[in-house]
Amino acid sequence: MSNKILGILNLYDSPSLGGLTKNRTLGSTSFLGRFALMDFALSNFTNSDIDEINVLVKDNFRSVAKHAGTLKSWVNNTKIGRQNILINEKGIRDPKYNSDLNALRENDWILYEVDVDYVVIAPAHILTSIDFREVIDFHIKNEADVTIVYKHIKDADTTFLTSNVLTLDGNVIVDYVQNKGKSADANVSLRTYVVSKEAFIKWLRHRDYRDATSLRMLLETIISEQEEKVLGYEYTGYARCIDSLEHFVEYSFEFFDVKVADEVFRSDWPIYTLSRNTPPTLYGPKANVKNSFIANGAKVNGKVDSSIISRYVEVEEGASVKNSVILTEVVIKKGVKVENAVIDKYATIENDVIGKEDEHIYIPQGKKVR
Amino acid sequence: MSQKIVAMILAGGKGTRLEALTKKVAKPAVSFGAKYRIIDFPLSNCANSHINTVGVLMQYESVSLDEYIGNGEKWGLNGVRSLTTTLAPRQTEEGLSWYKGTADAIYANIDFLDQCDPQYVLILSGDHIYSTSYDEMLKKHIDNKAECTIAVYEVPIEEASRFGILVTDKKDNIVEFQEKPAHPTSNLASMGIYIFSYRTLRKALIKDAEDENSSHDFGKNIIPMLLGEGKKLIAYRYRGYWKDVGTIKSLHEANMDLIGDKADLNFDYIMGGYKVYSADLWSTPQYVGKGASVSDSLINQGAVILGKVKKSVISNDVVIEKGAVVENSVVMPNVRIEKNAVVKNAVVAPDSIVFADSSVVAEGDDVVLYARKVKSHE
Repeated sequence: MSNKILGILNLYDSPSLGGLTKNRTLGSTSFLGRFALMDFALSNFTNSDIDEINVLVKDNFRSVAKHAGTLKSWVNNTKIGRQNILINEKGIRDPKYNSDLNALRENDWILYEVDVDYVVIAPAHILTSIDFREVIDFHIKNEADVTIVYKHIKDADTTFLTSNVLTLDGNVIVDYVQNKGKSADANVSLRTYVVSKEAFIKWLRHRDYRDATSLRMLLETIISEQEEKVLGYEYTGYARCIDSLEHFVEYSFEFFDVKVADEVFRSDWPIYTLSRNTPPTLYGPKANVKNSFIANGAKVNGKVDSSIISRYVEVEEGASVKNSVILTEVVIKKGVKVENAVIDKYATIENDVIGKEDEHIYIPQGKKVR
Repeated sequence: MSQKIVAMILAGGKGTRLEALTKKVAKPAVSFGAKYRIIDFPLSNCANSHINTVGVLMQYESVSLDEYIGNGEKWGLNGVRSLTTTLAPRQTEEGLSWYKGTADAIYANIDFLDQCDPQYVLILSGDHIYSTSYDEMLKKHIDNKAECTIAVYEVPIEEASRFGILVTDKKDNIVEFQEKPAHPTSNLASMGIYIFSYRTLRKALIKDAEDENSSHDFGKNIIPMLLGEGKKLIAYRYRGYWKDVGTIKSLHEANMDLIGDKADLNFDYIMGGYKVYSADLWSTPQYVGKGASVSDSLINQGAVILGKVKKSVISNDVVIEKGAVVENSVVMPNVRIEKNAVVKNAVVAPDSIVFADSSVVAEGDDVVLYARKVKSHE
């Protein structure tokens, strides 16, 4: 008998990407013109044979519902397993208490529905291709209560600043504190956890834990008081923490490097997403495209260099787009120059938009730039 | 379960003139327009016409086509009031027999139609490229109280002798059917798209089945029979893009219709007004590389372009390596065109490799078909 795994995508655990995440969750933010960021974590669930898939939503529910729907794009068998969007209705009425842990408490009915053995919790903003089966095997073999997935990185002074740094004694995590960027060399938490059933129930229902409001706080407490066996599992594959607009741009452009693309887009690890039935990309006679990702439905008749062009974007004749991320249904009019910009959906660009290489200019959804 | 209209799509043909492209797949499953298979068009048209019962008649290489059609989900034809089913020849009490003609294929599935109990039956061909809704045609059929409505396409009179031609009176009543006439008296070519009132169709099919001399074909037998019986048959003039791709050359041409000067005219016709639905292949995003150049082309997601592409249709999961040149060509899914290879005026079959420094080139107006499959199970 295989174990029953409950997968929870935790959208509470989402840094702000400025204007991009003003009206949508980070998880529903477009990535590479083809995906939403949540596709990566959800596909990791699917590819790890997890049938019970849940999305814990904090806000901007509409953007999640639009992309995730009933989560049918990420199920292996449409009859096996249940998929749920979990919302914290109490939290919506009283945002002070709207934390991930409280949202899980509000949704503890899921424990009646699913006779779960282990719970896997993962965020949307840390992109990985973790095989959870291996983490769960590790968790079982070492009889852990909680396993935190971490990665050893050498640029912790500039990345994963929203994550915790962990100190290990063998497998055991003995210290778990916020990464303050003091050391470049560090084990950073991927904010991905495997929790045994008993521990999970305790978190949700035991009065000793009542004071903890967020998962992170709870984990910090558990580790400092050494109440449960919390182990670290080292993951060595691709991992990026999207915690700012600049990182969002940097990690998007990184995929132009075939080494990065090949590491993430593996034939044995597909990234599933919502199907949109868009026609292929149409290139006009004046198109001049280099080093870019171009999504289906786009029409390109201008110059595109080192950029990401999403669905139904039009780049008209004589227009040029460089080092930019262009979201769905944006029109770049004739002769207009766009450089170092992030242009949100439905915008019309009739005049030049020029940002800085290390500070991309953001154009809000639907804006008309004249 | 009574249905107003049921669509029956004839998808059994081999398409011999498509040579290696149909060596292992039926013609309706041949790749088209960088993303689609030919049968996506009639199936999407059905979906866009709110027809929710569709039977797909198959015979040649039915397994892969059957797998592709599935339960119709790719075209949304799997809703609560939908039924999509594939209908291959079967063994019955009378024995086992292949479909002997287009009419015989429908006759053999009369039990299926009886069960659906439709008022109207729409007969479609699985290998036509056009994007439409059949609503207007059905309305004309009903308004005119016709027994059969045939979609016709106006062709240049000098080409009319290549088609089945319908002669009509001023009110579009069909008065005569001419099969590939030497001296045509009309330029209305039958598109092989029919709406029948089911009771009329049922009777005609049974009568035709009893006729040993019949070739059991809609154009050759059923239509002339109904005309002979004085039934009301009318023509529905279809205006818009429509192509019957029978040869490598015409398949190439239909692909080219989507790009270049013709794109404005056809692209939106084919892929705009009525959406065309297809399989989602979970391909990665399309990448155009640093030294690449792309113009006047239609390219699907999952393609990686590192070479030069001009006036071409490039499907999903195609890799065009550095220094390779692809011009005026159709490259089907999962093809690798290696370094410095030259592909010009060609159709490259799915899963092929064009080796480094080699060339696949046709001169002038000719089109060459290239098929060299990578064998993975040997």
